Amino acid sequence: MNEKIYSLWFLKKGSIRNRVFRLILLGSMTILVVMGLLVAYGLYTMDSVFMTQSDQLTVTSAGYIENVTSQQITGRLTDVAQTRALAIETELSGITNDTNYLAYGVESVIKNPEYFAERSLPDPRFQKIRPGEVYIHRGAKLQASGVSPSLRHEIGIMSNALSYIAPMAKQYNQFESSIFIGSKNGYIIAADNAPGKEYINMTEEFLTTYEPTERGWYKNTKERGTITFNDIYVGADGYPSFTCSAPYEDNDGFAGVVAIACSVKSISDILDNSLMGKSGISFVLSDKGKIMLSTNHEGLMNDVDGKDLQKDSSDSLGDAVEKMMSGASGWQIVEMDGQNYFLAYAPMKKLKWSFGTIIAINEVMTPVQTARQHIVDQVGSFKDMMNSQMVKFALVAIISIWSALVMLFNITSWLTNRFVEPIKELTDGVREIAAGNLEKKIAIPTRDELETLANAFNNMTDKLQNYMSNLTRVTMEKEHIATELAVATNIQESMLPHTFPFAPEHTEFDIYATMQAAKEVGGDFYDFYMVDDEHLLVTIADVSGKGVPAALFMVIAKTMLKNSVLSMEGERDLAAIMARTNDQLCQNNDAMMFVTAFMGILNLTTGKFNYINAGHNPPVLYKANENRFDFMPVARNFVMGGMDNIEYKSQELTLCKGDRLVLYTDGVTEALNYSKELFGEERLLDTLNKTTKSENSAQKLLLKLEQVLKNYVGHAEQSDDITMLALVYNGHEMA
Amino acid sequence: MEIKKELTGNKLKISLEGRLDAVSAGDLDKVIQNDLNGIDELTFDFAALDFVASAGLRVLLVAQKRMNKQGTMKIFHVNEDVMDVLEMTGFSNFLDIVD
Repeated sequence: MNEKIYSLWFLKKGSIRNRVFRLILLGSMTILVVMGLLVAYGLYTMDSVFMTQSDQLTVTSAGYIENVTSQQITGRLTDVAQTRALAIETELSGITNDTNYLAYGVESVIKNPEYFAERSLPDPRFQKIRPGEVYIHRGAKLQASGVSPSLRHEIGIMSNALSYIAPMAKQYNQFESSIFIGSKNGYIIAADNAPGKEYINMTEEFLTTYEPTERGWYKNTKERGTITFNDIYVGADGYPSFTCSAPYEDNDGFAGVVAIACSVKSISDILDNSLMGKSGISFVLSDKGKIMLSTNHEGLMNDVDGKDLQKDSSDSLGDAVEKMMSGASGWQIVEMDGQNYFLAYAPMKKLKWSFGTIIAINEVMTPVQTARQHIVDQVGSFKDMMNSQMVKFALVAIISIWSALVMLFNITSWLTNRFVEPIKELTDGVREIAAGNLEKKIAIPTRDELETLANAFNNMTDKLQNYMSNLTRVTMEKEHIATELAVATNIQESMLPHTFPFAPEHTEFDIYATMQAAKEVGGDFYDFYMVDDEHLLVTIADVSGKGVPAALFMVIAKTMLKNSVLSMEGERDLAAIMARTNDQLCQNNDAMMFVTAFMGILNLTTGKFNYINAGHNPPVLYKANENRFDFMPVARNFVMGGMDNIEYKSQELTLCKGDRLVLYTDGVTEALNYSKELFGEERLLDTLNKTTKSENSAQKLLLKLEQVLKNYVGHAEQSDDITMLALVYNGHEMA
Repeated sequence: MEIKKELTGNKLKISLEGRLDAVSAGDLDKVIQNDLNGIDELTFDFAALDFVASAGLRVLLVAQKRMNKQGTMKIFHVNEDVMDVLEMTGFSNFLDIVD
């Protein structure tokens, strides 16, 4: 688990500084990134919501304007259509009444010729006609066939219609207009108005070829047998002209047609005033689907060639025309020459005609389109502004985040350093302490675990210092003791006879001795001295224990023994000496120290060797005649100093020439090798027996033994004092 | 060296194992100094004792002298090597050695 955690980069092993640095940096960066993501998300949401909302705003507001505008336009168009239809019908109904009245007047003349006298009217062929003046004109056929007397009478009677025509002509004298009667017999009685002119201008062609019974208005009216509005034409004054005609009868039936042709400026004005916009067209449609009147004099909706709108027009227009012909009112969109128009229409009920007015949707909607474009532009520029603000914000955000990161990096670095600084201080302090400056005190006042650690270090340093001073003191004491011990060793060594060869004037013997203390001072000792000229005394002893106490006891024992020997008079009784020394040693021996000792006295002349063994290891004796070393027979006396009032038994033997004595302490036989095995008495005898003849001096013998012993012990620690003494008896040569 | 003590009333049995040399003699000396109060029968078991140095003999001497005043002291199971030392030093004459 731990390995897994440490494999994460921010916990990877490294200095604490780096790990803390990485942790803090990671934490802060996580917060920063999360906040950044939140801001980015907020911005994104805001942006997308704004974009959809602004698009929707454009669509809805533009649509709303379009709706309102088209509603207003169509409403107005419909109003216009209705009011204008009414106005035009009112205007036209006046002419209709006049025409009816004229027909009635003419009939009252022609049906009652007995009430009227013949009268004559001017003929334009022979005189100029003034506006409003009633004249008679004979048609082309009548001119060719000539006038019969009965017809002359009829014309004379019919001329009385003047009293109906003249007032009517006066009524219309503000417009270019004609009021006329066309007889089936080929003449017309008429009055023309031409405002501002003195005479009526009549072309030669008119005067010679005009045949009333051949004209459309005559034929139409005769055919329909009722009051009729004929095709519209544009009069000389540039205004549309209507011809409203009605048939009249004599007593035999159909006799002719009366008509009022008039260019009615008011209707033109009505139409013109009804126009909306540049593309606007107003028109009047007959119940047959023909355009009777139009503000357009060319194109599809012209009023010149009396087009049948139902025939050649688009589906939508055809549909609208059908509705108009059925007397409906309303509005709809129609297509004309590839362009869409609003068309509003209203019926003229009496005439069964319909009034229509159109306007191009384009024109109506151009402001709407402009407004829409304006909104789109506004929203677009707002979007652009928003976008550029977003970009600016993003730039600012990136710069801020970058600066924040740089700051974060520095702050983290600073914080980490601040955190790690005390550790470095501590490390430096510890290094200085380790280098030996125990006076160094580490001061880290951070009031945390580090301060505790520093205090612990200071505490440790104090203890170390104490310990060091103690150690120094102890070492000094030890050194002092060692020095004293060295002196003691020196003294001890100098107490033992150590000048060799000893008494070289005595050729009877050769003596050598060594002592190696296990500690600085030992508990073993040897001694030899000439008691008198012919007696040599040898001693070897081993005090129980080792070191200073043993050494002290050894000094006492050695001194007492020697004193006892030297103070003895006469025959030297070793047993008595031993017993006396033992008693002396036992006095005040609270430590219960004791000493094993072997002491012998050799008569150099006779070779007699008197000896006593107080609990010591039996010495080895070399008998020259037997040529071998063997242990000396020793009586078992108790050690010295152990108990008082003890009797010791001495023994005696005689040494021959070449005999040798080896005295030793248990340090020899009990020397241990690495395997804790004793050197032993067997090995001692064996070693001595293996010595060559050349090693026959006391010194060589001991050196050999020492060498073997050293090899045996090897590097094992010396466990006890090793003391050896060798004595070679050369015999007494008689002088 | 190992020193085992068995106290039964006023009887103390001390079993020694290993080498009774200058170093271990100090340990045995402490036992002798401290544990013999009121003891009237002290026995040593030397069955596992391999070796006795002169310092060890001194402790035995101390123990024997003390027990001479307050009771008896006996030594059991002394092996040959140790016996040699005891005989050589004359200690066998003063100690109560039981076969």
